Amino acid sequence: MANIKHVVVLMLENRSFDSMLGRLYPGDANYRGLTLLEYNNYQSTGYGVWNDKGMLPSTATIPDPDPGELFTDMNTQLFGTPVRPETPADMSGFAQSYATQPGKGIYAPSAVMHYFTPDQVPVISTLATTFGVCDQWHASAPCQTWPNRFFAHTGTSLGCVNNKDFSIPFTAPSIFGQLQAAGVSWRVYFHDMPQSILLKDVWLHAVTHYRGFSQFLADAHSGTLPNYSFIEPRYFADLFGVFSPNDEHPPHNVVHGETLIASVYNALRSSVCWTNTLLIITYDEHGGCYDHVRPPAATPPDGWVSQPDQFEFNAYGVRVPTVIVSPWIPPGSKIRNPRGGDGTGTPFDHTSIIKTVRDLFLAGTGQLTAREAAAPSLIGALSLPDATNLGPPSLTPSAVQATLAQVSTLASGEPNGIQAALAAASHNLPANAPASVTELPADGMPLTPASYSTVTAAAATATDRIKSFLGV
Amino acid sequence: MNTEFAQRSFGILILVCAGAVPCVVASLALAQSPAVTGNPAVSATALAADGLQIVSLAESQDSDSINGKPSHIRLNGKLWVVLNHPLPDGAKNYALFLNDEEIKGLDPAVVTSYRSQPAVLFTLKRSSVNDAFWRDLLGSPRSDHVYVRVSLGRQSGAGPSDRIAGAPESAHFGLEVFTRLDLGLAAGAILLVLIFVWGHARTRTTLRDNLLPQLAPSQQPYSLGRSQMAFWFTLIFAAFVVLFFVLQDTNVLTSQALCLMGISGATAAAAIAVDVGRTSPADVTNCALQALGLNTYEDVQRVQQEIIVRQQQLAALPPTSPQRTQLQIEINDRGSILRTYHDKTRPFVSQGWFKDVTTDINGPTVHRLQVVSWTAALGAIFLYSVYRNLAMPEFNGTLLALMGISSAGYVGFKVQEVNS
Repeated sequence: MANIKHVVVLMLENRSFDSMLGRLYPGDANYRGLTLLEYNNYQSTGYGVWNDKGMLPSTATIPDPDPGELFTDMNTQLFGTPVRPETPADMSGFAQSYATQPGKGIYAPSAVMHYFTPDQVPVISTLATTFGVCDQWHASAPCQTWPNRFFAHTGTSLGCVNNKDFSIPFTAPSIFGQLQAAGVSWRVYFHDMPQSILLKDVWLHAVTHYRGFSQFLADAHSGTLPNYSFIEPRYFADLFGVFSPNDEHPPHNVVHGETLIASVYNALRSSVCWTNTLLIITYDEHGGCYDHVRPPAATPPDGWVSQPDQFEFNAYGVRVPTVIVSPWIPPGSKIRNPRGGDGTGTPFDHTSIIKTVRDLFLAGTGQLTAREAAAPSLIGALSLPDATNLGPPSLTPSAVQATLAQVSTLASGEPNGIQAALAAASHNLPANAPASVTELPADGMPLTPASYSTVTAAAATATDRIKSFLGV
Repeated sequence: MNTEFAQRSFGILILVCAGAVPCVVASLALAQSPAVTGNPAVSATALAADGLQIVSLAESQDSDSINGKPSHIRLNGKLWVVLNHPLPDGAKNYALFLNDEEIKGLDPAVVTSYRSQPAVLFTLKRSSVNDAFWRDLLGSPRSDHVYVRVSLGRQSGAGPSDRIAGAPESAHFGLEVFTRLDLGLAAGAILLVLIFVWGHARTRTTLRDNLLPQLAPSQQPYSLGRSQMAFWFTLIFAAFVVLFFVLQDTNVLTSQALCLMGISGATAAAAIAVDVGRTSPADVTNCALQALGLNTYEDVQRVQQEIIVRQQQLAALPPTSPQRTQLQIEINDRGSILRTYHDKTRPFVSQGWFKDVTTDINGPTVHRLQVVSWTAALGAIFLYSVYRNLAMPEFNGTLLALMGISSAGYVGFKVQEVNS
């Protein structure tokens, strides 16, 4: 069995598998990528999948504006109707959902049918071919960002399908809490405001376990990485530092996400921890970008049913790009559930992260939810007898840096769903992290709608509150 | 070195440089004991062979004798030298000697009379020929009068050098260096400049960079370029005013003084051009603050006021009111904006004059310290020279080049500063 002592998860935002890795292995029948025959109809016009050559910012930010990602939007994308029907998804409504978005921009239906070629996203593509790519990894639910991120930490969203539905803190037990109880080291590394800080389970330990991303680089360099690391990207444009978001959330430039991926890989590759490391690069959900694979049925995590939609969480979301990186993985692996390699078995979803971490560090402990219990582990993909697939010594990301004008445009615009939700949720954080169990609230409080005219205003609230909470 | 001490020390130096002129003038006004230059006693060789002797000195035909007294005679004034006998060969060959030194270049003496006694009238005119003499006589003044011993003698090359002198009590007087009115006018003019240039510096942006409109004027950092320009302007203006009143001459500016003003003005203009022409950290912060809704300092004050209003509304609400949550969120949001504002503008807030002009956003810089040091050094030399010689100094080309290179280096490195 692979000798893995460090699991590192980097979860980016809102890209579908086909949009990022659909053309990784063109023509390979054993790879569920794009054939270029895929299309959506909208108003009697067919919109096929397409690629915009080059990698100017206008290409790297497609789709722009941001597609809809509410539960009803996703129903439209999967079924062609905002109300989820009983019939199987046919992935026919992406163009329609996008074209009918309420907003101020021009929603050209073809934007969501765009895909990047491997040479346009060389970092994730290189890692995918050098190590392994999962072409059967689905978002845990056809829901917005927060439900899927909570699935990655807790195996459930407690019945919520949209960000705004949550009460904060999120009270479901998490993998962090189980690791803490078992004495297994863990840390969350973040850029501006970590979404996972909304977990009640981490509040008692947040001050000592939440660190800036630079600390991840330092820990990797010094060989002091914890057993489990979860990395959160920069969600907000930071105009003060002239930093573009690197979460790849449309319309954020994917080049900056590529840079983040390369930074993480390079830090691990040059670390003494490397031969004992498993890196999982994934995205929380597809964000309205087209994917052609129908999400299969899923094991409901618990008894929660969303209101008023009555969704039982008995189906996965759209496929998201997931790349598995480790010296223990054979080059060019296409990773699927070994018990259903033909695509009919239980696919990977975000709860597979929990399952893998449990297999490695928490053997014999109770699973968080039924979804996690059903999830396949990634241990089987680490099939080399020794850590011999060391990979390239380093990856060189694009030298393109965000300009002040580009960041200014993002920072002066209206916040997107996760940005607004993070800012609103930050008001539910106490001024200081609780120091004892008695200070923990019994239940979460519903989010109070807050209005932010610009991303910068939302970021100011979110980062200010998190600094206060963590005492930094 | 203790920063505050260094800052104070340098501030004092600048104040000394900028304010020394009026201070010196003021100290002169307060001087009680007239200083006598030279020995008023008549030299043994001063008696003319034919018995001619100076019997009195006067400032006009109608005035009393000024023998041994402070007079109102000053540069460009007239001096009556009263003799016991008329000059045997007219006045044209005779020169005025003060403290036994011939004043060359004066207009020819005029033979006249003073209360029925023969007299010779001299106009104490300053010219390029006798400039050095007057500079030595009037320079480094310690009182409003300088006492001089008067004698007459033949002009250089006009015959025997015997001199016509007088008795100790009849051939010396106090030459006026400046009047109290002059003193008041000069001090007033200098004070006005000091107030307008430096006095408002604490509360206005006269000497500050004003790069972030979101900062209060008193928080804006001091500008090295503007400070340097103001420094030379103040110094040269003060020197001009003092020299004008002492020398009664407007032609006191030297080309070197103009060079200094030119260098400092060009430095300030170039520094502004650099700031304007490139995207600096201040520009980025300004842009970000605008995205935060803070375009000016008035916006910051508005947000502060909004918090106060909401806190008052919150206090007036019953504990169970559903509006409390919304109000608290609005207060928190505005508080976050202000904390972000304070956090992000901190690097641009003035840390005091000395620290501002010697540091950039990354800390102390050699190129700035160099400009400050050379400016202070040349300023001190300038001030001493004006006091000592009653003239704007004639800096040599090397010193001016040094100042120019120093300023050019500052502007060059400033380009790098704004890109940091």
